[in-house]
Amino acid sequence: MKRRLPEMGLCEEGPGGSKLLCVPILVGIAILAYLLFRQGVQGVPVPTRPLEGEGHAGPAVRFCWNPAGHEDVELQVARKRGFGNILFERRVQGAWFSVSPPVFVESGKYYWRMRKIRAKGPGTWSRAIPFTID
Amino acid sequence: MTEDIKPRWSNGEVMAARALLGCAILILFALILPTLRHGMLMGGDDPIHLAYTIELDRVLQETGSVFGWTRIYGFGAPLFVFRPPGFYLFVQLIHMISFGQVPLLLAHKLTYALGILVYPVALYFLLGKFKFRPLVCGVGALLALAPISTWGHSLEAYYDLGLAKQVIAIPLFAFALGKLPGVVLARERLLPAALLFGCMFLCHPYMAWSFVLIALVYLGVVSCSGFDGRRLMGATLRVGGVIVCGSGLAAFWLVPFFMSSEIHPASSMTMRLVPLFDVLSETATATVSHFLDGSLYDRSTGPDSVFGGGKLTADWAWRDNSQSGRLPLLTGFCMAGAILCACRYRSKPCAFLMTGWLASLIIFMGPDDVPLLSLIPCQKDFQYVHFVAILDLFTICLAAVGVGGTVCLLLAGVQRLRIVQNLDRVPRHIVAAIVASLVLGFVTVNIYAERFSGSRTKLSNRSFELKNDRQTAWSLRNPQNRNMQDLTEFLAGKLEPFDRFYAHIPDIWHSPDVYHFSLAPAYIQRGNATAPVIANIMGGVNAIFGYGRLQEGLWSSEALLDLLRIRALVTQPDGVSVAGSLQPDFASGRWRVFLREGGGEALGCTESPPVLVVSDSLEWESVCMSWVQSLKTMDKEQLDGMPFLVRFDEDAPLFSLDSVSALYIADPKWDPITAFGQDAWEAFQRRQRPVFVRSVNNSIPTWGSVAVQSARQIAWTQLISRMDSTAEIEVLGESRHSLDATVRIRQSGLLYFKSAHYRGWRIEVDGASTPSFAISPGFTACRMEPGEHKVSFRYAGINGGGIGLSISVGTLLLLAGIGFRKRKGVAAEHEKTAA
Repeated sequence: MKRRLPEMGLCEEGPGGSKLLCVPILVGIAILAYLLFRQGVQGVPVPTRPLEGEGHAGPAVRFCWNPAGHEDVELQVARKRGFGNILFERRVQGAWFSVSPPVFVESGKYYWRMRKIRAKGPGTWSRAIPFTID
Repeated sequence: MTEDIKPRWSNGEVMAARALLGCAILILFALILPTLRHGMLMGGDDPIHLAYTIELDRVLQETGSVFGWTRIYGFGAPLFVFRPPGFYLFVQLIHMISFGQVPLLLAHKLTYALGILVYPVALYFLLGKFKFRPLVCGVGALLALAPISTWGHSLEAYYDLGLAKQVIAIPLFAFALGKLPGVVLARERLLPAALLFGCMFLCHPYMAWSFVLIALVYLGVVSCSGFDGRRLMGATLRVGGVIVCGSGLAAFWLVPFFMSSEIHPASSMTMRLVPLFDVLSETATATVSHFLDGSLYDRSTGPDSVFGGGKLTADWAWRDNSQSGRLPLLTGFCMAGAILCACRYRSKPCAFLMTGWLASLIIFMGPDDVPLLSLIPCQKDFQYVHFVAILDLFTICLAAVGVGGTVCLLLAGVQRLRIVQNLDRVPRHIVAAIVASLVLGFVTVNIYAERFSGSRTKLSNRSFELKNDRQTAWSLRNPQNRNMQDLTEFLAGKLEPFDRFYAHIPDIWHSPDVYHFSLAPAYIQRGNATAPVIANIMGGVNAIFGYGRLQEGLWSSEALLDLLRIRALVTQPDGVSVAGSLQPDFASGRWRVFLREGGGEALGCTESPPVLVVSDSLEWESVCMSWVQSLKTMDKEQLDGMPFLVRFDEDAPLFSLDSVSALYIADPKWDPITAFGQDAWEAFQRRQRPVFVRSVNNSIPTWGSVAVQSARQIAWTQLISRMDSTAEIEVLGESRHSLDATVRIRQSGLLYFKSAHYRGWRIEVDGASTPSFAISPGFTACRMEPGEHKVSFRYAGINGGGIGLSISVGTLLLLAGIGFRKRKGVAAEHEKTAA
């Protein structure tokens, strides 16, 4: 009886499926590529706290970010998403900064954002993150 | 009609794959065998899990219920109201099915061992169910414990941190994921998959949540494979059925968990905990960079490139594995697998593996990197670092595909190019055996050699054996912790039943002492005698005393020592001021024990009209905290005149406005007229009693007399009315679940039991049931009328225990019934076809 080599397929289900199966893979690769572009090429910092919609009860708010690199960071806090009327603005170092009263006089919704200060100039702003003061 | 599927793969390959699986299990067994020896335990936070195991055993023996009252939460709480019970139930199961022949501690360690040993099987099952060739399944099993991430399902995770919740949940995740194709595509029965999901939920809810996300990814892949809308709807419903029914099976724990808000304000806990863990994640660029240089999965290139290393303190330096000598095999195999799967994207299993890996990598990065994740329900309660286990799983699968695919390609190349003459005459099982041996040898020599050397070194460092300066900070045999053990043993011999001792720990958040003191009653087998530490993460009255600046000066207040029933204090003397009644008695290392005569009364009584608090659970904690803070400056005698706080229950109001001295309302939108009625409210205002209203968003109602930003601004001591207590209390008997007393009182008042308020406690006065309520600082209380009364407090079980159990049993019966009916239908169809 003639013996044959094992089949070369990876799995029982052969590669004859729909071409649309590439869509979820491409979506994943696109998201990953976008993140790498924003952080690696544009140098946008990654804020970690407070994130979208988080409430804060204390008098001071600690803003945290992921300090990839050693650049200074410019931090801004405002009441409007457009940052027209800035309540607080500071160039800071490290991975966090506490903003104390009297910045947060009123309860309600605030926004914060940040950008890296590189040797060649300020980088791109991170997204504006809403948070609330109770 | 069903048809027999002819096995496509050769028996030789199947045998070789099973041999790889067997080898993986044997190697792992050899690796973890030392942990089963006497005196050896896993490291990390295993003392916590061990204490739970001991406590569950005690509770089961006493009450027969797994949700008995425990004092390892300081002031008390139902066991498992803060923690999923899966792991501990599994330990009990092993202990019980051996009729007690497997001792509890060994059963505890066996559970770890089984969880690790079964993981290769789970991966073999998962890959097999996705119909990957046996060689891929076998390699997957062999690579199962190759990842190095401390936070995932790796040996490091157990040796470093003793992650018990994950140890069962993660293999269950792989099994449940393996059932998905059958449920979605072959319309298999829901019961097995739902059971797996339910068990996973009981072991680690994060894994269940992760499963839901990955199941959605799977549905997305399936929908791209040419499914029509109707079938896709059916598939979605079936996946939904698995999740809903699985949750239903776990309802016996879930329902009580969500019905215990009085001591478990869940949002409060997660708000505090999630940031602690999230900061260990890195940015997308850093994560991808770590993956590419091998430091995510194999070994770091140097101490500075350990994943998460940028934020690790010196205490975590043991995570540096740059000297391990391991090649970046897993990373390389994974990349090969990713390329192969991307090339063969038109095969559904390959497309799913690739998509699942990408999705888990992206989700693992968290909402700080990927804001889209903020849209996912419940994500705020999720610690994204736990998703690394799912990333591990997909990485191993891709690596297995990488190895299997590379071998297939090589063989195909050899065959096509005729490099070896008459290769097609070689029996296929011999080819499979050669390939299996090569893979086994390569992986064993490199990866498992490192496992044996590196991980076993960690194991010996975390042993119970006394080796100077080589124990982890967590080990009870660490000389410093040994001192702590000495004094808790001293206390166990010194204290009377139900006397309480407390520990004041200078560094609450970064000290293993917190855990050891919290769990000391379990260690010293004196759960009946002590309520331990004021420093933990639990809710209710425990949280009130565990946070803030409350502990500063707490030990110098006789009023508070009495209120908290403190008989002994364990602390380090420097910088701590203690009351005159606390006298130093025993010292061990840096620790001192202070003992106190008296002050151990279980019950208290107040005859001052209380302050009624209208608030949710979180605000109630905040108000109580400010109330307790004000007691610190008070004389012991003044406590009799201090109005206590009682919480308003809108569904069953127990206090009318004429029986309270003041009102605190946390929400200015709340309408007192609707709650109390127009006349009562006007009468209350006429008496000019203070109404404190917390202003939110600067909105202050006109009816409030004092607007405050928070309860901290209220001077509670100004409400003291000069009144001596007329109550005489005699405790007749106290057990872990009950207390009986005789109370003589000349005017009406409030009797409180110095234990955490929980609705599961039932109170009887002179044999008649009476409503219980929360009283500051979070105790259980009832009203007392003048006269002599027999009072009994009984713990009747967890909130919603009956409802939860009914839902679990009902879901099980429903699923079993559906399965039985379906089997009957298939049999009838067979008979019809045969006829």
